[in-house]
Amino acid sequence: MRPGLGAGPTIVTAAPSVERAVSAISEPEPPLLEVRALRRDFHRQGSVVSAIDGVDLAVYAGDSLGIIGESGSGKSTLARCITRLDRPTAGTVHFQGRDVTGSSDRALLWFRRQVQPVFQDALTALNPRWTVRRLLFEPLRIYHEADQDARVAVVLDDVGVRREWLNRRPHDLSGGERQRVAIARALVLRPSVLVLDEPTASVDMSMRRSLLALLVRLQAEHGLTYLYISHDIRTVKQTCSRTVVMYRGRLVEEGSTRDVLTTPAHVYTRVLVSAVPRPAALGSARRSDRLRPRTDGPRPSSTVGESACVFLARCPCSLPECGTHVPKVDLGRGHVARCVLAGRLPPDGDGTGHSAPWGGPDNVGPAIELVEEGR
Amino acid sequence: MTALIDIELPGGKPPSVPGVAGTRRARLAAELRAYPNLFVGGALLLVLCSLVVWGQVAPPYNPLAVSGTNQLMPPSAAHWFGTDQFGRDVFSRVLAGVGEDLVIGILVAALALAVGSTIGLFSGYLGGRVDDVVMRAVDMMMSFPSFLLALAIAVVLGNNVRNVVVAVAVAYTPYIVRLTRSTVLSARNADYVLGARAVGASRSRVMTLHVLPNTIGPALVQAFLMAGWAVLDVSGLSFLGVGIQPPSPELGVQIADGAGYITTGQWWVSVFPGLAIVMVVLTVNFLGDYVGEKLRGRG
Repeated sequence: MRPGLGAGPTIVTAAPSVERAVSAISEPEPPLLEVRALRRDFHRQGSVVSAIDGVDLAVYAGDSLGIIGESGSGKSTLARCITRLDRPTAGTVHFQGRDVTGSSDRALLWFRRQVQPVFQDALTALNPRWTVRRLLFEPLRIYHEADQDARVAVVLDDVGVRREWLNRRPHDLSGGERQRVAIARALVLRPSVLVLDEPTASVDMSMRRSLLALLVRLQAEHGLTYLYISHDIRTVKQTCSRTVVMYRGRLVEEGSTRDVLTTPAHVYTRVLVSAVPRPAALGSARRSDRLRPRTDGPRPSSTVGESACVFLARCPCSLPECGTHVPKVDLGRGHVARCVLAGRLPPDGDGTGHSAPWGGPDNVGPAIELVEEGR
Repeated sequence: MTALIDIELPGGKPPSVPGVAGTRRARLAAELRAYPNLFVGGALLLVLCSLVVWGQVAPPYNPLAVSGTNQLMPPSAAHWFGTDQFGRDVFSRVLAGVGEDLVIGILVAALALAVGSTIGLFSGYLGGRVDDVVMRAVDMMMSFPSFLLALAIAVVLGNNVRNVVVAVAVAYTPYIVRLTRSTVLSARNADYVLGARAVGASRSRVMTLHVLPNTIGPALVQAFLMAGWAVLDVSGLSFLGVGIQPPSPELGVQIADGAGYITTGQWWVSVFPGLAIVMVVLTVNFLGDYVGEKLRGRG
């Protein structure tokens, strides 16, 4: 059983990952999607801002990789670079072993068919002048697919899009209905990878839970691979087997979701996890006990050397060497953190107030969004 | 507790209730009640159109027929708007002139919209060097007042209806280019455009089916207003003698014909064509305002 799954009542263990675990014993399978040293710079008023700064990722077929971090950490830019809707400044994106980094839109047709994005807000992601019917048929028309009516009918049932929505336009639907339409549009080409950029952020709480259940079911039924981007740690915990943590364009920690979220090794991850409000009945810690980022320090700036820790300016427990050297600490089982204190912070009573924040049986309580810091 | 953290999206229209919309006639009535601009503009347009049809099918007199005996007659039962210095019936000429000016206004606006929005779409969506070149050309053209530009082009091209329409349309095109480009710039990285690219839509498909329909709105409103300006500018050009030439019943030509007689008391020769121009311009302005309201309401 995959870590992180099996916690909620709606979770189904995906078969492909089990197969992968079995085949991994004999020979290592190449990753389905691989990102190497990816970098995306933006030029703003003469200065260069790196939204992504040297990111490496490997996603295996049937996996679900969570990407967490606060707003502005480069998650969405990463999603756009991976789906090749944006062109990375440097680095490569490989899909099924083929480099898709420099290809033109026309040369990417085979890739686009396999890798589909789902955006945060379906109201802006669906052409507001088109009917749902036209939106759902468009991908099939572009690829000149056969049996278009049947294909759309299958997707409608699969995703729970009602037939009476077909003649409506996106603004005539509710947020949850719209997001279902967006997911249906992404799935109608039968892709193998969905890049979900905060797919539940724009809908209300009950709808969020049903959308999550839908995504988990679709993954199990179709053997989909997910890149799940969110600042909502709880939903990542519920859907993802592996998780990476981004801060200011860099990966600061990666590993299995359970390792990363229950025994966070990077100070930033600890801050992120402990910032999630929990129902009072569960928490033994008072709010004041939580690990908080420094807000009195200097504003993060790009003048800090390349070798310095990205979290230095806000780190509540930085050491002198953090300005010059960031070790890559391997904690075993693929759990890696780029932090001097990785593995050296005490597992308990470390100031987070709770060592296993989501370990309890009450895993279906309301998911609550992080309060964004410093924005 | 959950209610506190629900995210409700702004701008979403409440879902339309089926059954209330009803028949086409009921919907039109509701639309007319909701938008007074449509009501007034539509009513004026109906009046104008019936005048034009009247002028085409059964005008009281031939608008070009000269009479040696009936010169400069004041309005009367026989000649409602009087006659001009050549004895032509002013009312019949106004009927013909309204039709001519309405067609000219629509042609100018359509031409400027078609050319301008196409150039603006390419310029904004492709960006880079194409955009630089187009924008410098537009800047250059916009540094002349549009009427003077139209005047210069009309003089170069020569006097006939087609050339005057082209001249005025060319003078208006830069405004449409600018407007379309700016809306395209804001739409080209919109999620729905990325989403269309993500399902494999080609560049031309994205531009024509996704970007254009969502960015044409402001240019469309502008084009309606331009139809009104065009009537004024074409009349102005005709008045100056570089537009449409006599004996055409074009309204500007008629005003020019009658201009010399206002001081001597024969006001009707130019006042009635002037009022007709006002009516044509008002009509397109009302309709343009309606289209603008409609688009703004959509958000």
